[in-house]
Amino acid sequence: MLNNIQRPLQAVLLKFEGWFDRPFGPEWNPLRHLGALSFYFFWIVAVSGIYVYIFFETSVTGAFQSVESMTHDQWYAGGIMRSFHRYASDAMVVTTFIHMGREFIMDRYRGVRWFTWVTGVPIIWLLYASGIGGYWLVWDELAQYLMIASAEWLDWLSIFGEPLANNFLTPASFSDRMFSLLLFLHIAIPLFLLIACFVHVVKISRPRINPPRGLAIGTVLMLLALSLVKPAISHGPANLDKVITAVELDWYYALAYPLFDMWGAGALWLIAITLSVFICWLPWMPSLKIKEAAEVDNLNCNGCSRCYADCPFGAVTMQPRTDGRPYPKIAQVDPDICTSCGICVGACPTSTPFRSADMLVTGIDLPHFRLTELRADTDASLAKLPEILPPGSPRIIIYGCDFGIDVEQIKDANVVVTRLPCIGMLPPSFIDYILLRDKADGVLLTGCREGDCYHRFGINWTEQRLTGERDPYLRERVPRERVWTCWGAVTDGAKLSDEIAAFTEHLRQLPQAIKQPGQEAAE
Amino acid sequence: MKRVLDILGQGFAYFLFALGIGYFASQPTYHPFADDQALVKLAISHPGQRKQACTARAVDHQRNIPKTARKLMDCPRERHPVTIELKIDGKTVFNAAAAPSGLSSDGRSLFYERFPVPAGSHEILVKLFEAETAKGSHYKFSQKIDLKPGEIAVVGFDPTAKAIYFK
Repeated sequence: MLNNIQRPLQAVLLKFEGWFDRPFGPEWNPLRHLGALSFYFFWIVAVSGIYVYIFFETSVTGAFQSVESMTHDQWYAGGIMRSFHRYASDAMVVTTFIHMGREFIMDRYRGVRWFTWVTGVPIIWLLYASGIGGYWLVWDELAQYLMIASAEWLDWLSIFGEPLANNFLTPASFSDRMFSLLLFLHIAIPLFLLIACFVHVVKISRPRINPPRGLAIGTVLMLLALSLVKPAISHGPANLDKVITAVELDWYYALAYPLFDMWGAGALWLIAITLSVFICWLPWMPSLKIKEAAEVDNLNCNGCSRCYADCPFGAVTMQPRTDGRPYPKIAQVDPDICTSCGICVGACPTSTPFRSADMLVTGIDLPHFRLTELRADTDASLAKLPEILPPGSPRIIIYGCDFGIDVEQIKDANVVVTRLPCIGMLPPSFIDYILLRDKADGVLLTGCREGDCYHRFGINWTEQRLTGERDPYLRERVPRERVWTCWGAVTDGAKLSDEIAAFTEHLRQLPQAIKQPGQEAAE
Repeated sequence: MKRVLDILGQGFAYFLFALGIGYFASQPTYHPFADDQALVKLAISHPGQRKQACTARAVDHQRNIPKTARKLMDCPRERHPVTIELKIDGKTVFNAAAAPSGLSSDGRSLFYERFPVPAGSHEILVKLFEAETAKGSHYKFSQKIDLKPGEIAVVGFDPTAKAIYFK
């Protein structure tokens, strides 16, 4: 059922993302930095808000005039800052909701990700409370409409000694004291929002909270252009003796207000609470079936910390050793937050297929797909090559992951495939093992799209291991020209076919035999 | 050439984003209220009568209580709900009771209602009952009013003057 909803949406989303990949490239694609962009907009709102606050007068009679003055008399600074404040707030709503939708469509909200998903819900409430509270402070007709409707909405709960809306019955009933309270709320609620954002990412290892520099610059330039072309302006001053008949609503924040007018406060509370509970409940509807967590083998773990450094969810911690072995620390896996991606297996220096033992044992392993099975699968796939190989064709083995391009669809005669939970699980020594022993002429690694690994860092770590930037790295003796990568989503099958064709042609241009270590010297 | 096309593509994407942000930040205009209407607000916070009258405490009972805690009268706090009836041009638009606020049901009964009416002349009649409605209203107010388009008129209660007012 869930798959039937997610699959077609994934196809649309991935197509859309592909269009963005062309001009922005995978690194700057804004759809892969939605959370970071939301953070970034928050900071823009905070900085511009501080500037606007300097010139803001906290009183019923002075607020409107002070905002008008900074908008028109100081358009080049205060006016632009006000526009930044408004438009960055709007942009934050947009990126937050697309971020949420994307995580749902890509199925990245269940399992260990439930905490991050659920803590996103209070963020949305706080975001709206912050944004709407900002509109009140301008104290124009829009502020009057939003303020009275908000008060009436809150009054429905009957939690206040006097109805809040009574503060806005007549001009005389709205006091400067009440206005100061509104200002306090507009400072306090965003601070709570910031705390909520911190909680949102606290369980994520290396959260991306800053967009790439190019994207950050482009975003600011966009906001600047928008602020100059269409500066944020006020409505007429508020007048509590008059009813508001027309408002230019900010639909990103005020979409619920027409619904309030149509259906009333009770219905809107019901919708808001039901929707919030429903979203919080989604990770268990149904819950993600997680395979067994990674296991540490005490005898083979030397406490090198590479699994700890590479784990994308912080499930591995290093603990003091108590088994008497001559290493100070040992890895420990928290099964509640382990996603069984196997990246830790790929990081372990003992994960090598060269060992002669029938049963490979490594420092950290997946119970449902052990390293020894990966070697057996690799050997079994490679064993098929001579049988299917057309004469003169280079032999290729592809390693593919469960969430990227579907490697099972590959039907090329000179290609065999092996799947694993995440490409980050593949220790570089496997490439060495295949090429050194002349089991294939080339190794092609595939995974999710760049910057969009389902397990967050599988692609990054793999590329860094191949280039020698990260332990365990691919040994220097391995001929790099025989290792190829192709990153793509489940819908990018055609791209992989093209890459296989290109890799095959590339391998044809290389000398047939792979030189073994020492062979050159002997020659 | 590709770099130029990339920059143009990025610019187009930013343009579309800015267009969406800029447009929906203020458009389309929303009309929460018809131009030819006025609004009558009923905003009254008023305590109902106590359900039981105060009674004098027995002298014997007082002897067992510390001097600082002694009270001559025993006054149960619970109050009656307040009922308000509002008629505009002879038609009852509101007739409801509000329970006393507070955990001990001893606070004010709170009313806040909005009634859009066509601009023009109207006859307003308000009755407030502090206890059971059968015993008759405790406060009554009637007035002919003339409301301009978009005007807000408030029906309230002045606790000092102990009277319903309209302004």
